[in-house]
Amino acid sequence: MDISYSDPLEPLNRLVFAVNEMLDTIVFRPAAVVYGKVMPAPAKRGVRNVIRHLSLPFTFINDVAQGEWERSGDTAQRFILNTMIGFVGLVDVAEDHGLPHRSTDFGSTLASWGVGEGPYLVLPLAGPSNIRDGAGLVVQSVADPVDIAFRRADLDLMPLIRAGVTTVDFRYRNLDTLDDFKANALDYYAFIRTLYRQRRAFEVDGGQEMYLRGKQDNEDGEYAYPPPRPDFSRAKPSAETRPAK
Amino acid sequence: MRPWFLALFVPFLFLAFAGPATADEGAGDFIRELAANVLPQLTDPATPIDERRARFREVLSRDFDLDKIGKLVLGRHWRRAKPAQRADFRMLLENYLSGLYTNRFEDLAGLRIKVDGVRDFEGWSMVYTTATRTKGPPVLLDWRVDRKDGAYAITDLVIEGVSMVIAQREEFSAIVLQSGGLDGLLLRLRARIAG
Repeated sequence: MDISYSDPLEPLNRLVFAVNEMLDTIVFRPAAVVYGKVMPAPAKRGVRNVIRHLSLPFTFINDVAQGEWERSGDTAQRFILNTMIGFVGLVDVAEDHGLPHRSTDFGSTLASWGVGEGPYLVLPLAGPSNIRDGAGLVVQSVADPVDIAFRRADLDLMPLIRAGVTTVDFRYRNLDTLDDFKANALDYYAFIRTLYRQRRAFEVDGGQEMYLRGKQDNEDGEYAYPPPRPDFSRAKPSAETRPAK
Repeated sequence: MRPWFLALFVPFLFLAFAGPATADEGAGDFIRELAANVLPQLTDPATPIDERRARFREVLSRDFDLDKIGKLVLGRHWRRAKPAQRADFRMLLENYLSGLYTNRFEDLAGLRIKVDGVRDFEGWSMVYTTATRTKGPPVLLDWRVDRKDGAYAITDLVIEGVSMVIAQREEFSAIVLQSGGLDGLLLRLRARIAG
């Protein structure tokens, strides 16, 4: 069997990808360029902090749903600290207190429940995804506590503005990278597909599932996805701090 | 704490550092050496681009195993390829990669690489490193290291979980499919290199 990635929806995906690319060229990339030029660096930092801060309530729900108790505690602490001392998330004080930003989403939660990624899927506007993560986005669009709070307060436009700002911030931070990829890729669609898929596998479970499946399908002894990275961050400090205690 | 009490911890210390898996520390030293002495030569913005390109070509043929990378990147298409196509691909790949990565090295000036650990697999090792720049968060860089004529040679670079070999294979494979064969890919590579 071919260990190359299955993309049964490829014709449709390529069409949506082309439309997204067109929108990116005429709307999102220019908006990101203007955003980068007009906004002073501290303001951009603040915007980014607020975006990340507002993602924390839904992150907390996902931490709990994944059974990540320690992480859910960190997320809650981070949210409280930055709300109270960080001017509702504008300043990231929690990072200096050993609580760096971590993100997760409902796609990862589904993965932790054993749901496979399914076929690759390019979503209109949202871009590269797969069936599982696409479903995760649908759940998020109705279950995000911050958006629900906005709507309850009759601030119906806020979820849309939040999504727009999130997109422009993301696009701004990836201006050089995506320009490089687009200029250098021989097949930009295929390149973004493998990038998304590998990166996502790494985020969701460190690439464990992809590695095992690659090994299984690999009848020809081809080099499949590399083995998951051992966790050095946990092993090392404990060895070094032990004698000091 | 009394000094004699510390002695109790010494055996545990060794356990912690030995780790469960065997590891070829030579591969780790190879990457350390590369990061300390070779990488700065490629990233120095003061060096003219032509000279950096020439240096990278040298590194590519010495510290990377391009024959192996070519095989890994073409996957099943490699086995079906005729000897002439293989030779052609090998030459084009070298030109393509040196053009692709030379420009990217500019952004890597001041990169510091710390080896986190080494693990051995069937015939090759993975050297796990963390790279830090003057600004921005640290980046996880993992190097697949094989042996080439008795020396160490890089055969893949995994950046934050993204394998460059697999990314390249997926992209090349898409082009082979679209253009109906390996010759289509060779044509595209040749056109790209010509500019």
